[in-house]
Amino acid sequence: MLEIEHLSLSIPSASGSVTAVSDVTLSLEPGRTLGLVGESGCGKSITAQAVLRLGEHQGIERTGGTVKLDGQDIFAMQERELRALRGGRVSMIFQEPMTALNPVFSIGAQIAEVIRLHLDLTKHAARERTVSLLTDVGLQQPEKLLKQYPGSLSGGMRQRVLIAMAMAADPDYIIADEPTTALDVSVQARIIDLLRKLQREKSLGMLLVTHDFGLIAELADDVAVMYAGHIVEYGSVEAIFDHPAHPYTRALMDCRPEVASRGTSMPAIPGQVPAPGAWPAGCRFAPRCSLADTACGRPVEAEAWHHGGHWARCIHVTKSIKPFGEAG
Amino acid sequence: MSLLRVKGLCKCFHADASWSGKDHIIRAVDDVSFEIEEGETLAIVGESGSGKSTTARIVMRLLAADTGRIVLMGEDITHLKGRRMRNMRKHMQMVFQDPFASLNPRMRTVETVGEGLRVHAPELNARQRREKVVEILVQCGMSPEALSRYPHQFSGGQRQRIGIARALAVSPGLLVLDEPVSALDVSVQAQILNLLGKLQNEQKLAYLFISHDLSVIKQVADRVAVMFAGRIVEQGNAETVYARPKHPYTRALLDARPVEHPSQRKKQTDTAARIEETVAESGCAFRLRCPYAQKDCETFDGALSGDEHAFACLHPLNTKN
Repeated sequence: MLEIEHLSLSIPSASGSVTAVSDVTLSLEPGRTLGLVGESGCGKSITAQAVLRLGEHQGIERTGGTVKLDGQDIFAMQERELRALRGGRVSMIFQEPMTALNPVFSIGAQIAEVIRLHLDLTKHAARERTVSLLTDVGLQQPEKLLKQYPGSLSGGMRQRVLIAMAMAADPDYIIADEPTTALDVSVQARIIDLLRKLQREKSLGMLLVTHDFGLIAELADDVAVMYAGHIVEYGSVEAIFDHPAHPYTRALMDCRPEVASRGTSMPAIPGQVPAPGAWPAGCRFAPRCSLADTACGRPVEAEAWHHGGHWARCIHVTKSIKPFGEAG
Repeated sequence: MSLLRVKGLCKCFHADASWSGKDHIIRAVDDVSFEIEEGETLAIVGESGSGKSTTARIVMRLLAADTGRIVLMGEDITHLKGRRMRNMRKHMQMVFQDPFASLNPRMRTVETVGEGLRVHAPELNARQRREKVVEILVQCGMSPEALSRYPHQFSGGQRQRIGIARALAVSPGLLVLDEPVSALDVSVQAQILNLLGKLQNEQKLAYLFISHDLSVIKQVADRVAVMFAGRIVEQGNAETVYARPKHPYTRALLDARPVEHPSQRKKQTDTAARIEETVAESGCAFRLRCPYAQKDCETFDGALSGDEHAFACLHPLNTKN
């Protein structure tokens, strides 16, 4: 079980450090996919990176809470333990397949490095494992690919290589940060299939960070919607799609171009996500919310509204939610 | 008379030969023709490498075509030079994808938006120009305070509004929009698409809208042209193409879109990576990936057939499906 407990993070800014993530609590079980969705600047990527304590060298600091892997506190780990954790039990797929690979090492060398760092294998066995990983992710002629360099591969192939690399040490959890955003739609569809297949076969727990509700609809079991540094809604993927409770979730889903009808003006959310340090004291979405009133000037508790395991940080949910009896 | 008529555009690039020693020619744009009427939106959709952005750059005369003709408002601009080309440029303007890279960081908004006016409306004095810039900014949903600010002081959506204001300053009839909302968050994307719709209604603007995003195109396009490997493989009324695609590639693109609701998840089998990016060197470029390919596809010349709804396929999909 991977648990993020009351995690708060600060980032450096011109006027000292400011809180960018506040009091985030999430948990992920093996074999399940948790989607973390929100617009840019909501804090979803640094939350995900904090699971591996990445970003510390960029001045991102933990100001509260912690992350636990099967009960073990990641923030209490020594550097040596962290090295074993990163890419070992928990690995990561980054957004940019063009920059996440080292251009001067061959594909074979880069994957073998991960394998030999984490698994006690001979050079020969590591090579065999590399070949089988490349085959698993749907790449043909893996033997030939070993000697190739990232520059000669297309974006889709690079993303497959990165996925192979993330799978190299047989992790229990994988953090996928916008894994298909940089890819063409037909390649994206195949990568979605691949992630689904690997997850099913290896019973992986996946934390999927994305701004794209389409990707959430394809892959997630549970969804956490993030806005201005905290979770504003949490629920099963069906609950979120059928009965989005928080006005932000509803607004985000409504302005997807795929669901709006042509020729009409698209529902847009006025304004933009407030920057860390400029969050309103009360409900952080209130300045952009059509339901906001004076009561929203006070801070809102996480589970201000809840229905089973589905909750929302909003005091006006009853005004916004679709009745539960109705079909989605 | 069409506002813009493009006929038989071709553009080849020579791939870097120094590495392999072999000279390799890439046909980036291959026999592309289309027309755009006043007030109309033609969308070109395609994946990376399909030639859609190269087509946009050729239309804008940022890149010279190898062959073909570009006729803007009845005037052949394919080879126009100097002052005559400059005069035609005010009729077509471009909005770029990346609002962080396409604005000069050292220019204030008033200079960015007013620059085109200095060239194309030299009769205006500084005060008149400033007034005009304010008017356009307000039209684009910005407040006049934006005038004296620099690009880094704006969000992505605001920058894109400034990019649109800059393009509109010289009152063009045609905007070429190259992935204008791809770099924006979905809520901001909707704001910009609404702005483009409003401006089009008010000013009878024509748009050449380049995008890889079928959902965005569905929102904005009157007609759509689907590009694959440098060629238009299907072209027609947007609703028709979406509802009844004829070319298997269009169908594949539409099917590849993520589902709208988790209950629609489909079970797919993972096809090997090489196939998904393979382009045939001869005959129909799509034939190696096409489930309907037959022997005659190997020698097909890729010509479009049909008028209102044209497609380049010997075995088009049955419309009843």
